[in-house]
Amino acid sequence: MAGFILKRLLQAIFVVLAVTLIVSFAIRLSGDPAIMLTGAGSVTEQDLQNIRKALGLDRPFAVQYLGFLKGIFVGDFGRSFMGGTPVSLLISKALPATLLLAFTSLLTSIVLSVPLGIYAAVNRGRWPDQLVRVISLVGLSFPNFWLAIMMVLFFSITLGLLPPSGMEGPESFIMPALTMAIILTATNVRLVRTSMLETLSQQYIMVARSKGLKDRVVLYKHALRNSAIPLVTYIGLQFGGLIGGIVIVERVFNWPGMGTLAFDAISARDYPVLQGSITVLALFIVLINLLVDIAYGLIDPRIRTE
Amino acid sequence: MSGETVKHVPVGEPLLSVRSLSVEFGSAEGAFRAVKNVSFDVQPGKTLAVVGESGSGKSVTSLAIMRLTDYTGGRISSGEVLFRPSKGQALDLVHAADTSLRSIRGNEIAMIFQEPMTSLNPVFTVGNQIAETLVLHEGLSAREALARAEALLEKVRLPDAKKLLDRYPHQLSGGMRQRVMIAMALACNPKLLIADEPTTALDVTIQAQILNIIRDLQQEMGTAVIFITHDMGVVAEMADDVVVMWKGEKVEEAPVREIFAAPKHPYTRALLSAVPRLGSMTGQPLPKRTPVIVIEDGAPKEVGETHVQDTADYAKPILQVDKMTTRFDVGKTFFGRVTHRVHAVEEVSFDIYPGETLALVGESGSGKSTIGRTLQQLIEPTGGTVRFDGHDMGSMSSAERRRLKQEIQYIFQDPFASLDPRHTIGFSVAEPIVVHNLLQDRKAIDRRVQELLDQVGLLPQHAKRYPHEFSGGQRQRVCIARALASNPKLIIADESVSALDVSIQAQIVNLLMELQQQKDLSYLFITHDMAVVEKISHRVAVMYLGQIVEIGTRQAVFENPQHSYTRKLLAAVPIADPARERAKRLIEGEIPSAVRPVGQEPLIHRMREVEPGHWVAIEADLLRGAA
Amino acid sequence: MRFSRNLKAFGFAAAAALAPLAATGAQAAGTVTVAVALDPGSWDPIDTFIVDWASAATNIFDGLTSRGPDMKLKPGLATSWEFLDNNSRIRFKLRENVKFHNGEPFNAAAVKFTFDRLLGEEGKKGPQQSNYNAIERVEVVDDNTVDFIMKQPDPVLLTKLAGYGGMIVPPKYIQEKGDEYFNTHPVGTGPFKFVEYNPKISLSLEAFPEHWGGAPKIDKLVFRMIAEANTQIAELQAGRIDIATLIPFGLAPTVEKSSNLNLVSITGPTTVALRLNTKNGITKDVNVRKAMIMGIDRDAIIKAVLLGHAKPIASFQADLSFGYDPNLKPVPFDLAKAKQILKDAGVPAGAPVKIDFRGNDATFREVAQAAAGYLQALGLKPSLQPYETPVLLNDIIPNGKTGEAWHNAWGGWTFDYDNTAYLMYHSGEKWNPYDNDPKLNTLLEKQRSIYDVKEREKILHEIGRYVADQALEIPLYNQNTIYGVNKRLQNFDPPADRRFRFTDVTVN
Repeated sequence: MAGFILKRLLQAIFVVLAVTLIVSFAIRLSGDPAIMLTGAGSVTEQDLQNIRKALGLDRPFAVQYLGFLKGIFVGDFGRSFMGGTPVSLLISKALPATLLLAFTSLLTSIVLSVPLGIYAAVNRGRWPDQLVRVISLVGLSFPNFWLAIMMVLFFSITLGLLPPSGMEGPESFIMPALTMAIILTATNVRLVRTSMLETLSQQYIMVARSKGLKDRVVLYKHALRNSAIPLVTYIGLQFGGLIGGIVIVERVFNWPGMGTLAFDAISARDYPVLQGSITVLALFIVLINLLVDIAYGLIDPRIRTE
Repeated sequence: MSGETVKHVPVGEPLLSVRSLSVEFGSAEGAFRAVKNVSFDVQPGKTLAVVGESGSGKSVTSLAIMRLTDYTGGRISSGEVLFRPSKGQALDLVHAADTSLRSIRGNEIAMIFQEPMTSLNPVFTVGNQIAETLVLHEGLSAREALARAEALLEKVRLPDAKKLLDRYPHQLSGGMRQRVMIAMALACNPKLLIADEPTTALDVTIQAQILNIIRDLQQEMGTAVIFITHDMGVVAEMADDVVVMWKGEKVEEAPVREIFAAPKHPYTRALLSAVPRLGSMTGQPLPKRTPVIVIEDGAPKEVGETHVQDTADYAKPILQVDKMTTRFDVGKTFFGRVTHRVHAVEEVSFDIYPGETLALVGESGSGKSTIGRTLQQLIEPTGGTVRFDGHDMGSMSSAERRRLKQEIQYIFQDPFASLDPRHTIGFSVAEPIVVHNLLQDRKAIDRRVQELLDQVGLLPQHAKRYPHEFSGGQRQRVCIARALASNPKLIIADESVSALDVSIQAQIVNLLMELQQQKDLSYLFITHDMAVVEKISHRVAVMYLGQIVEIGTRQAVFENPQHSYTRKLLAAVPIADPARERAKRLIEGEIPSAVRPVGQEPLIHRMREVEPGHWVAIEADLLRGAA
Repeated sequence: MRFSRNLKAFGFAAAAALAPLAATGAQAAGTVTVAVALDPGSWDPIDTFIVDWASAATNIFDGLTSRGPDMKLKPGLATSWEFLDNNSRIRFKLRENVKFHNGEPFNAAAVKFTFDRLLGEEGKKGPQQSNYNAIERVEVVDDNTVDFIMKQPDPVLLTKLAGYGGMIVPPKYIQEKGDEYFNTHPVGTGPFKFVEYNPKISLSLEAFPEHWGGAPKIDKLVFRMIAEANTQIAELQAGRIDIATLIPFGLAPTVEKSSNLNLVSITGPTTVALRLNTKNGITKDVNVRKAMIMGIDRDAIIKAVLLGHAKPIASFQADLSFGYDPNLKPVPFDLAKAKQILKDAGVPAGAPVKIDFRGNDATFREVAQAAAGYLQALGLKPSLQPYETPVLLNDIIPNGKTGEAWHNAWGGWTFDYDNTAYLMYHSGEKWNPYDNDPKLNTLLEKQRSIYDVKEREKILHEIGRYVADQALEIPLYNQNTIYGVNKRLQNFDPPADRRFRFTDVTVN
């Protein structure tokens, strides 16, 4: 297991390096931040060069990139082109916001989808199953942008219950987390159901029943842990997609997270902020997948004891 | 369930009485009746065998006794299952409340299933799974339950029982798992044990061990057993009474000797005629085809003829395998260095002659299937030479190798998996003709397909149907037709009849022999089933741990086995003859693993010739090698 | 009570805990909250050109001159000015007894410091320096008098001193705390002083009662950064912001329908045109260009696509712009005549017209589709080519890789035609890849050297007419600035340039 984790860590470093290289390179193809900074106004080439020099963009790409890499190791991601705020400061504020949102959504989704998925699987083909499947299909077909706006209209405008945007208190979490959770739950319910059905058809479930165990014990002790194996893998993979979806949800709810940070940085060609935020997100996704692998081993002794 | 029916069963009456039991599946209108009006009794401490082939309803019956059919979509539509528990009154399980049922399941009645590999929950330890039952029914503490679990593991003769408690199922072999399963089932001293094909998936030596254990424990604990099986050999060895099921109905019920000595129902007679009996060929030098009784329109009918298979031509071998070695790398270090290898095949040499059937027998991990796959060019051998028709396979051009694929054909164990479900069987049979470009004209191909289907006993109109429309036996006929399509000289049949019901198996074996006679085919017949080997093969090679330990004519190997492993293998086969004394055979030990650390090469044993053409491994060598 | 009823209707027990929190949604009295789309990142006047910066920072800082919502130039921190030495020296008399928020006195040294900084190394790093390059240096005459020594004439200078890079900053504060600290803790002389800045979230200000223009009537002013229009409107509807600055035309009716909100739609700085390629394609011919102008019904497009939130234009400027000529009328729509001109010019049916535009501009996409419809009706074969904005602006246009027409959108806060016209039509300019017209060059250069308002206006009119006559572009419309405003705001005078002043605003 230790060797396995070491191997994954090395892989992770390589992945993060590759991501930073691609991002740094690609964003430099997409437009000159000096022009973005000056707008379309009456600037001369000399003015632009002055700005580029001030931003350090007059150096060759390799020098800029290596400088960025060097910075990573001491936790210095440089300063934003927009106003010169240290990127690490921006990330230190945005990352907790995003992680809180991501975990709240994921947790909500798991709390919703596991019992629903099991319930559907146990009642396979009967009306509770049909109902859960139809609802999850409806959930799947909502674009999250639309869902978010509908929620705001209902909870904030019509009922006046929740703040339409911002991160001000616990009540601010409800709508963004629910938006993400609904989308996630729609897929997760199906996954739990399928995985549970697969497990329930296994012979050891029949054996457990032949032992005289209660249905609840059979489902939650014998079946759930086995069903959790594919589920955990999927949730790990889902995390990457979750971060993608969060960009949109953060925007609608004006959530001061990594999605907003990266999105604004792309619009403004703010290289340091973009490089920094993508690196941190990549690190994070890689880390989550590593945790998933470890969790996998904890759930499945076949992996642990190999 | 509507109110429980409590019946008074006087002492001395059966432990379990199944009365007019019917089980249905599916919706009420289109219901399929899997079990129809079946009745039988189980006496305390006795063994009742329920025999039947696939679709006979025997497994559904076994599940219905404990109402486990509730969980498979089944419905008990009529009948009752009267069970007399150790305390209290007799109970009709069909109408029992869930709580009563749960107090009986695993406690008064326990069950062992067919697939030991999937019967244990992979994420819980062995100790946990056994203790669970004890905590539930006996109210033991976790610690007490584990102590009892350890004692139970010792009872089923598992070594190192204490350590085993903390093991997970995947760390155990199939035989060990089935013993754990037995320990689990017997944990609460049940009055009745239902064993559904408990040894079918096991190797023959392991099967013998498991049967011994069940029998011993049954005697010790006075447990009654319902033994569900398709294997008449097992029936003969285990049962006191026999119920024969056919198409969901009970067709015959009698004490075991009576069933074998004087079967009354035509189906029972057909079944018994199809069962290959070890020793039935004693004294006969060549394989022999014998007629099979099949049921047609409810009446028994004899099919086939008696024919001595004098097809082999020993002038010049068609296939010469010389010191073939095949190894696989497993287990790598962090840096990708190989630490362990599977020594699947080690310096194996044999010849096959035109018109001859060479049987390759052995248990799991013996390397027999690897040889077949290597010959089929699915695996590259690590060493040795293979000559086909005198040409060295190693030095063949790619065109010659393709040609070789036409000459050597393969029939697999699972006919369903080897046929593409999206194509008609006509398409599948025509495929080798098209691939090898044997015929170009569409009409000629169609004619050839018809001809092939006819040869394997199928009808021309079958060409347009899809695999799912056929039974297992028919599908295996399709696979044979496809193998014949490219006019091969050699067919490798890898457990090709193992999964079939005995009556079908007998017909397919006859078909293979008939085709051999017609087309001068050579067979490499890979199997674990000694009884089938005795019937079909000219010569036999016995494999153990990647090496041949004994090779010779079938008669020499079966009637004069020299190697201890060959003897053990033969002794382990249950004999379908209840009149024989049920000698307790002492067969112990697991099948060792062929995985070795790199650098620890297995010792290649030397062979000695005990009589012309009959070679045996020198055992001192083997023991040293395996140590 | 209202909430408890809602809760019942909602049937969501968990929400009960949140009701007291939700009650804080209403604005505290005396606080005005404005939503802006972007966070400029720095509040230093020389670091940015972003309009959202000005929406907020106009309340923190003052310039030497000042311009209110009426677009009239007034004295600011300078009380008067005069042109000396043949216009090469402009002398400003400074307002006395003015203090920065930190107590530092405003004086001639502060003005000199501000412009030394803007024109020196620090200013080089930002986008504002280039706007003030006509200034050679600033000289202190006495504590309350400064001279601007001009490198070259800049008739727009007095306007530029009212905003952005011309805002006066405190010398001692910046020297002591450093530029970086100043970025996030701005200090000026304006009517509101800095309280707190949460990057990407909000900027909070409070009233500065000692302001020379009088104390503001509200005590708190908050700017929240909300990039999504739907979110701004939701916040506005929920009463959590008072002004929304990001309202796409399509969402304007939503605001209009809300009983507690006003929709403000006023002339804005942005003008939109389809610039035409005078070098290649059928648009080489001036008559063809004229026919295309005539053949597109711009009034219809304004009504249908912009829902009336725009005005037709004849030259590339708003009616508030200096240089706007009320006598120059848009060419009326006349399809038949346009067709005839095309026919006379020998344009074959199905001649291609490719329109390049900013792909992320959803409104213009519709405008372009409508325009293409008219061009098709003229018998031409229009095609639409969306580009990523930086690509269009930095490559396609400057390098002359456009099709027959391209999307030009322009809006300077100065509201002076000079800036636009010079960059658009003078040869060698980035936005003028094809034309080199000596007459236009002369006119453009001439107006830049004249401080005489009347005379300069005359030349700008001439330029506007000449461009229209040459049909260098299809002038489409001047887009309105739209705000959503809570009705509780009193005395709010919405500015065309989004540079809000909240001194006189009160809230109910």
